Amino acid sequence: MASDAELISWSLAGDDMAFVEMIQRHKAAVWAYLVRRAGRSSAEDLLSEVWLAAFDSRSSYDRSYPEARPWLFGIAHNTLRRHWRSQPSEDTVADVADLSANSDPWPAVDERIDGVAVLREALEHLAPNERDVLLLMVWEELSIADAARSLDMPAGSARRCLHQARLALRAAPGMVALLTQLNTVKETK
Amino acid sequence: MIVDEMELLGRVRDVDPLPEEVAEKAETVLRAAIVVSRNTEPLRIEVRHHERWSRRRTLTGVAAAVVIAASAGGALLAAGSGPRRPAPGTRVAIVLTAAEVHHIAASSVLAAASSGTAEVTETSSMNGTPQTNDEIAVTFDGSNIDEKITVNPEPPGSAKTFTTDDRLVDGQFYIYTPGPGDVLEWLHDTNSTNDTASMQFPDPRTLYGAINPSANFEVTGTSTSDGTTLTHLVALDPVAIDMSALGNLVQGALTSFQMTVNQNDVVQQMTFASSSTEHGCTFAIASGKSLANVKAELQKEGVKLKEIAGPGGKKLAVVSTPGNRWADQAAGITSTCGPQMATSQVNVAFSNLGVPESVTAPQGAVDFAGKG
Repeated sequence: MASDAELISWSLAGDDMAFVEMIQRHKAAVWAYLVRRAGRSSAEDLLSEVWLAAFDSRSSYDRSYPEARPWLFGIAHNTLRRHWRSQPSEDTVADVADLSANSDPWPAVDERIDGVAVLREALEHLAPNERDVLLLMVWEELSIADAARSLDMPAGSARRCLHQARLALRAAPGMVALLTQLNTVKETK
Repeated sequence: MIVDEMELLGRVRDVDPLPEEVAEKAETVLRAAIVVSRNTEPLRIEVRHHERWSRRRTLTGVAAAVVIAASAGGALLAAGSGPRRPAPGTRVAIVLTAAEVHHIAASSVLAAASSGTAEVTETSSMNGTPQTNDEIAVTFDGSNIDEKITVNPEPPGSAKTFTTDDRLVDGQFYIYTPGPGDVLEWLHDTNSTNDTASMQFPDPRTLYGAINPSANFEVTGTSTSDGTTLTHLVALDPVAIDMSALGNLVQGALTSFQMTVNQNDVVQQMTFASSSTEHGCTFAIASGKSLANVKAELQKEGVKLKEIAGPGGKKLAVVSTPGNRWADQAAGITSTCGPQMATSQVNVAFSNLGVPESVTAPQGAVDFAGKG
């Protein structure tokens, strides 16, 4: 199977459908990335913008990287930033709250603790770079090197951002109580 | 296992899978972009005016350059569910999302990529008085285009209806026009090089470039034609439309932009209007004794004059500073100088999209060295 880099090369050489094939490989991942950060409604609008931006900038793709997913996340990240500039700032991580209704990740959490709200609040207070690195690794399952590539930053800086993000998240108001609660519930089961 | 912040975040990472229709719409937009990009870079072209263009246009000098992103290549038919439509009998404001607008543009580009036809009507007026009324029947076959043009006189009956034909085949420009002896014949411009600029009307497919989410398209209703449900859309912010996509069809500001799309999100009809305020003076024409009278009268008023020779004897063209108003019926002159409100309206009805058409070089065309 051809690598993403090869498909992009073929696209640049005139085989336009090679680019569509490359996009198809990553559409689910990019969709999930957009939904997690901007919510489903905005993601529906933004997905085509990501594809167009990727197609327009394909000549700048560094073909020493066989896999294009981090590059696509980078393009999606820039698309989101443009989107957010036109939106109220509080919407930036609204998706975290949206997720609770469907995925119900809190079956063991005491009802008195609104875990999603605490998490959302904590994420909102992270520095943007720190939040981006953290979420690319946890939600998109990228390596630290690929997260750095997505965000166009040195790997060392990404590592530092991750470290800072974890520290800040742990220290965020409500997080200590929430984590304690979760671990207590777990132990008493 | 201890639940830490990473584990906690991981618990909320699941999202609903990508819906098929969303994936398809986004891919359609991408495919349309690819089709458009096949024509290398957008062509920057110079608009030149034929004699048949309206006097108003010739005088005021419409846009000197437009950018046309031509579309060509194989058709990749799009399937779509069409924009949201209001339920019958309801009046609910529905403004299309960016994705829906992109899909309309993309579906239309793809549907028309190979071939089709378009009926264009173009009217203009100056200070409410009709100036032009042109009808253009366009046939496109890949990048080859034929335009049968009918210029109707305004007011009706004031002159003969003028017809001509522009054709672009493999980058070569042909025109069906009166040659020596006023006999209609096909001429081939030997200087033409992919001469889109020579065509009276731009490739109608370039108009799809005007379909932009920032114009905020609102659904105004639906209708049925030949069993097909059509959705009517109007741009709430026509000024946000990219004017370069409309070429020289727009003067001044775009005042309205409407379109009708079918169930596959393919544009069936576009109507747009524009207006501008121009300062200047319309032509005043006189000859012989009238000319002398006019000159004397105008010079008395301090109006600047420019005299030119016309084919029917000496003519006078009057150029005046804005604000001057004068008329001399006795001298055979009617003219108003000052602000002129020019308006134009263009209607484009697409049909036969994807149906094979044939546009070929006319037989026996006479070579001439045009402007290239």
